[in-house]
Amino acid sequence: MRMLNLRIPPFIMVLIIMLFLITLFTSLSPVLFPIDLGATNLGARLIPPSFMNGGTPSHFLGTDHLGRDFLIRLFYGTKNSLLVALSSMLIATFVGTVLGVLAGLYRGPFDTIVSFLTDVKLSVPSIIIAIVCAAVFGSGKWILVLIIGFTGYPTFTRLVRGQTIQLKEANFMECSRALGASKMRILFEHVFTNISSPLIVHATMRFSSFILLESSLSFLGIGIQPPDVSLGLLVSAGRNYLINSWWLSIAPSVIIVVVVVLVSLIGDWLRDLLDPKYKNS
Amino acid sequence: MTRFITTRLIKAIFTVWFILTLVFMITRLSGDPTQWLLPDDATAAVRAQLRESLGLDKPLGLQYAQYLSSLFTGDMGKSYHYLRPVGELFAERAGPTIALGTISFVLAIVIGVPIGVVAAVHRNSLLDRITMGISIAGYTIPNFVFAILLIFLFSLKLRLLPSGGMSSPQHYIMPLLALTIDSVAGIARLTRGSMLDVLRQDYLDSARAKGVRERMVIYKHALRNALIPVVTIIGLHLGTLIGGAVVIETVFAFPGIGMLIVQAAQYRDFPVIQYGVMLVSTTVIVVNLLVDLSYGFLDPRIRDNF
Repeated sequence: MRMLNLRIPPFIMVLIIMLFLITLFTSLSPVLFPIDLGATNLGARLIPPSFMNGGTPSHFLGTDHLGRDFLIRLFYGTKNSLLVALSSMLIATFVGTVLGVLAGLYRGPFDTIVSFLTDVKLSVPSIIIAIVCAAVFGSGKWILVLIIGFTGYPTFTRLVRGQTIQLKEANFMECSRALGASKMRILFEHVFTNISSPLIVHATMRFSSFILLESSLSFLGIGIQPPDVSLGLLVSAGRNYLINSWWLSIAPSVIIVVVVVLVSLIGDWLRDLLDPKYKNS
Repeated sequence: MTRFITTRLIKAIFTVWFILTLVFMITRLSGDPTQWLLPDDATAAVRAQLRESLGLDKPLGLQYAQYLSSLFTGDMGKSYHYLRPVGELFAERAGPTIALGTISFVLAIVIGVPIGVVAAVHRNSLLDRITMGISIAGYTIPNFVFAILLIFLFSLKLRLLPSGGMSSPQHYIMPLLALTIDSVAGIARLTRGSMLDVLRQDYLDSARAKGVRERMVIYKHALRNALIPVVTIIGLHLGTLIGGAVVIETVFAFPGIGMLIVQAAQYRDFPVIQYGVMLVSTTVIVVNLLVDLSYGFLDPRIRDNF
């Protein structure tokens, strides 16, 4: 297997560290802030952040419309949004890769069915599919993961199927078969190693679109449900208080944008690194 | 060419049929709607009566046949929530959504394509960097966040525009802006990429060597070829646009089809959802069919292969 000459430019390193820290600290939120997310304190509603007029030191970023600490909600919200996006990305990558490799290797009726399903999926907007599923199966964190994962897999299938078909024609595959390599060996040694780079790039790119889909659905009220919290839900809950407490909506929005920008920039860099087509352009 | 058109047409019809059947099956999976439409203490007789009036007492095969035939008769049943014919509900709300979607679609192309071309021609210039920076912002800022920023700025701070509803032309400005920025960003990025690929081709040098003026080289020789992938993506982009409209309508309390579908999901109003999915998917499929066909006209190589 070809070794990657992995020299990470300082700028990208900073981005990766930032993303890592965000993920680490927010995923620790149940340990850092072991509280009941649903517990309200109506006596302390809409307190501004402690560095603004009227803030209290006990709530660094103030409280929301039900008197809950806003900083803690931001932590949990980011954690849930990242968790949903990551889990759906894993599902989409797994389902997409398996279907794509099988369709590409065996062609025939199986390929026809898989390709047809991919086309069907691509002609209905993800958000509409998610709305139908949410109406039928209800909403919640893990249902949301399944919905996003299964609406997101077709682009993976398309990519992997195309790559596999190209590989099948490659000379070294022919040689390997002629040398008597088993199907499994060919699959793991040649197919998976060769499709891994474009797959990683694609998964990174899609990760940000999954975060956007999660926050859109939660924003619409058909994603993560209260008392659980996500970034989209926070933006939505805060929008009724824009006049006096604009930060309730703006802070989670900024986190969404920051995470998406970080992931996209890292994805762009990975693509340039792993895909020779973009290297000299 | 006829074969090209017929294969695409048959495939499109088959896809619509498949989606409709899938939606029918999924909505029937969810069990008996009288369970959540009626209070818990409702008697069995009342439940049976409601099932009968909703047409749910008939055999599944008959329901399916009626469902498919309703495509042609237009009678899609009654909404569980509004207790009115579904077709009527959609007809009332179609106008604003179509206006919003069409204007935004046209704006996105009219603004996005030239930006992409200019950025590609003056690659790495300040102009290129600025437009691409804006387009990355358009891609990374979710449309509902953008919408909220607009409301904050224009409705709450400057008090220039109404934040919700659709009773006057001013009500359209912010939803249009929020919906268009996403599409402009995507289309500009694509056009730039596609244009850069074409600008590298040798045939442009031959054109220049022949003495064709640079303006003609770019706008006639290069742009025409660069537009082929862009047209395909614009077709696929329609789905994203509809998804965006669903969110934007909800933010601005804009009573269109998108908001109707989102609310139907919250009420589990299946007739409305079925009709909504049918409408959206048919629109996307028909537009993509047209795109496929125009592709054939734009590129003789594709036409001749079929």
